[in-house]
Amino acid sequence: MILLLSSIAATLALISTILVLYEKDVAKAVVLAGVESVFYALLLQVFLAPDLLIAYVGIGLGLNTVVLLYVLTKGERYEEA
Amino acid sequence: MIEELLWYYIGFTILLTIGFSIYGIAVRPHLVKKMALFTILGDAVYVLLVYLGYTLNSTNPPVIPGGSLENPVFSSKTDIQRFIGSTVDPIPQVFIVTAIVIGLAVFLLLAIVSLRIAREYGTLITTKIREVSGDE
Repeated sequence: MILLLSSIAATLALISTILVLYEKDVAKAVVLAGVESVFYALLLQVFLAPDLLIAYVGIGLGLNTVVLLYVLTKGERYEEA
Repeated sequence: MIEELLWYYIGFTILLTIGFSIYGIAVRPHLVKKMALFTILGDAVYVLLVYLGYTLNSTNPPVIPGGSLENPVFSSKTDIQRFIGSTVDPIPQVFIVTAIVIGLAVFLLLAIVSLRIAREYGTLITTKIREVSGDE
């Protein structure tokens, strides 16, 4: 049962990664990377590593998103491809 | 049976995530998107290592039993056997606590270099940087 939940979370993280890869708006891509980080935090809890969860949610969801959005304000928002 | 199938499916999905993020770092031109995919690559590697340390019948985090004031160390051999039989492998988790912090340092270094590039060339897209700087 818990493995079913974690396999759903891994699938959604893979889908988020593919959406980040093919998204033209980079701000949306940064937010989708944060969503992917939430699913990986869920996987860490399922794999019984709550100490990693504490460090990972603060860094992966909070600090990475803020720093990436700050760098994005200094350049173009949309990428041509 | 179904548990083992789900188990292999999770590993396969994490490996696919690593592959897609390496492909994105190689082909996407925007520097911020490269950095976001770099963080995704690092996170997938962390989750893959924790996944390798997990055992299917484990129920507890790797915390030593008998840590109370009256009983500060392992009390008997059965405690140790129960600890080994019901917890995950703690070694990958210990490695990854270090790896998260080093990944944060590398990420902040990349962010500072990207800010410097944006100030110097006025753009964050690598093909435009090549046009502006005039190199072939």
